[in-house]
Amino acid sequence: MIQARGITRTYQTHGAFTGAHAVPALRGVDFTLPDGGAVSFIGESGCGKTTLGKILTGLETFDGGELVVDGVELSGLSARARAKYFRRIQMIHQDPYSALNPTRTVEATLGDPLRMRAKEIGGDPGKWRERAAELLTLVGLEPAAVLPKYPHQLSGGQRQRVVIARALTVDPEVLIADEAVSMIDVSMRLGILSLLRDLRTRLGISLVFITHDVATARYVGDGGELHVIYRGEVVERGLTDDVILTPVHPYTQCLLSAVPIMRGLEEPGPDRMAPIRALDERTATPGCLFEPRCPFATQECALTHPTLVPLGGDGAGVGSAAVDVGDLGDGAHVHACLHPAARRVVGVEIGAASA
Amino acid sequence: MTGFGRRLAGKLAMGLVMVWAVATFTFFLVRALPGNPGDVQYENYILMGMSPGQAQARVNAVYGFTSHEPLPRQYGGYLWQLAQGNLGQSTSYSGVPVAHIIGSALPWTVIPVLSGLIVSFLIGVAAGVVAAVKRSSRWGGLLSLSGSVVAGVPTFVVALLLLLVFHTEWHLLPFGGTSDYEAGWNAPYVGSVIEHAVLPVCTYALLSYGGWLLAMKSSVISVLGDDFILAAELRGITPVTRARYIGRNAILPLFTVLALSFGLMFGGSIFIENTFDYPGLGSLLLKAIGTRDYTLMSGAFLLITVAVIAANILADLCYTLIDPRVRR
Repeated sequence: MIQARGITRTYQTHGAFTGAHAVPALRGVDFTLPDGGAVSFIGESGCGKTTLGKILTGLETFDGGELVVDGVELSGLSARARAKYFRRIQMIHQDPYSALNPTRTVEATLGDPLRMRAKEIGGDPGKWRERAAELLTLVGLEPAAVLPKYPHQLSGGQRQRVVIARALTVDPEVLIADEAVSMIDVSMRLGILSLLRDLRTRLGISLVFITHDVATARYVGDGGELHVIYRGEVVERGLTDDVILTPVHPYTQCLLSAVPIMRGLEEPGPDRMAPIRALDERTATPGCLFEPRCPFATQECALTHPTLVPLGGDGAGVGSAAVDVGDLGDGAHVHACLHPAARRVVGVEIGAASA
Repeated sequence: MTGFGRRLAGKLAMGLVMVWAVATFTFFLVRALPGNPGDVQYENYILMGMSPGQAQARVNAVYGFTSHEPLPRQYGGYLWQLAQGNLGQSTSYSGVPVAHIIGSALPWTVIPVLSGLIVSFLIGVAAGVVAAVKRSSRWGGLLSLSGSVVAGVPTFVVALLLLLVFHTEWHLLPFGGTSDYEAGWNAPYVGSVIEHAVLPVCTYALLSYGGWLLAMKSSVISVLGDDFILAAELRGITPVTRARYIGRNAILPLFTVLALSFGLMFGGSIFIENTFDYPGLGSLLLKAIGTRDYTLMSGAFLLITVAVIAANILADLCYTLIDPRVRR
């Protein structure tokens, strides 16, 4: 189980003329990933999704908050001790074309980590060939056909399957998929997504799914929690279907409005909307981060910073900061908006609407 | 392996076509020069008191083509002689075959150029890796700066500086010629050859060191950011394996440059050999230009072309061995 409590990360830029400048990438992110569970993060480019993935794998450090793996607080450990925990968290990268070493065959790519892993757990390093074949079969590839090949001889989808097989060589407990299908042919996407879902159910590998694509998040994160990140802050959280079907934060609603519909079969939700202004990351505000772009912003929004509160049926939860959202059970639908309102923004099936 | 053989044959055929193109170009270039060298030589022979018949025969012997025949026939004759390995005879070395003169100068260019290139490649690439990995530290910055500075200094300045310091001031190394002794496989001769070659080799090496360093640095930096390196770090690979992954991928684009710079070094040899009074192809070419020895010039140009083409073919073939993406 992985728990993140108020993870923050701020980048310092040192411009030659503009002076030092702090860019907050994450402003306190909490989540809990149960064993074999799934957590999805959606948000637009630059919202901090990728930084979060890097922090979870140890490629990036966090400067505030705490990461707890199986009850052990990682910030208290030495770098060496921490590496052991991070080894159990592997990453599936976005670009399958740069994620594989172009000068090594699939056999060599899988062989090295398999032998290393066998030595680590006291297994038989000589058996790596069988293990490699087993892993390739697991990810849906034909071992005999793929093993002697170089990455450039494989298709994008096949490469991504090899990347997943390679991540599995070290027996990870968590996979971080950072935009794992955004660069893959649409026709291959579903295969990769169902493979990731399969790994969850068959091997009990939990999944952190980072994406900007609502539909893939819904497919993979089925039954898990969905976090909507805006400028490094979670603005809405809940069970994946709850958030997608009944979004209450205007930012989530804008994101979902941007999902293309199948014209002829679906029609746009009646409340579809878009931000009124483009993103400007330099604006610092004491109020809601989304206020400058929000179509429903009030004066209060510019002054008061909303915190995550549970969704009350009649808006009773609004402003009741005394409620600690951490105490709520998993899957509670929470949001950080002063004026939450349910709006219908996702596409509606035409037959269903007229019926 | 049949694929490799077919590739090799294809490359060789292509190389032959290129050599033919360059030979044709030099042939017509010589013909187009103001004061047709053949005619000039013919007039010279007449002035020396030869009969027109004798003079014509001499010119024919020297240039390998008959200068008063129509152009296409001259061209055909030149190519025919060339195919038999006959480059004509030198005019300034009175009657010595050009192939012979070039043949004796060739090793004194090829060996220093090659050793200079290899030394600078090894040092430059190693320094480039360090400069890339330590790019945010002071030493990395200094290394990169050294590359830029050395790459920016003109060849003749480097050559003259080395000469001034190591020969004129400190009397450590000799100057002029290839050796102080008669040729032969004995210790004093070989030692002297090495002593004489040190300064030219160092100049060649300094000439290209900066280029290697900067090219390797940028190549390594681009590989460092690749996802497969990050993924390997996640699996916990050793630093040695990581360096091997990076080096193997970063060095690939440099091989093409290596072949190209082999040709460029031949050009550089004109300055360097002249400065060190070293009797290689470069100083031979310079002398030929000075004495309007056109047969020697076109022979030397042709040889340089062949060398560059051969180096490129070799690099292409090496590429297929080291980069699996080029293989088919």
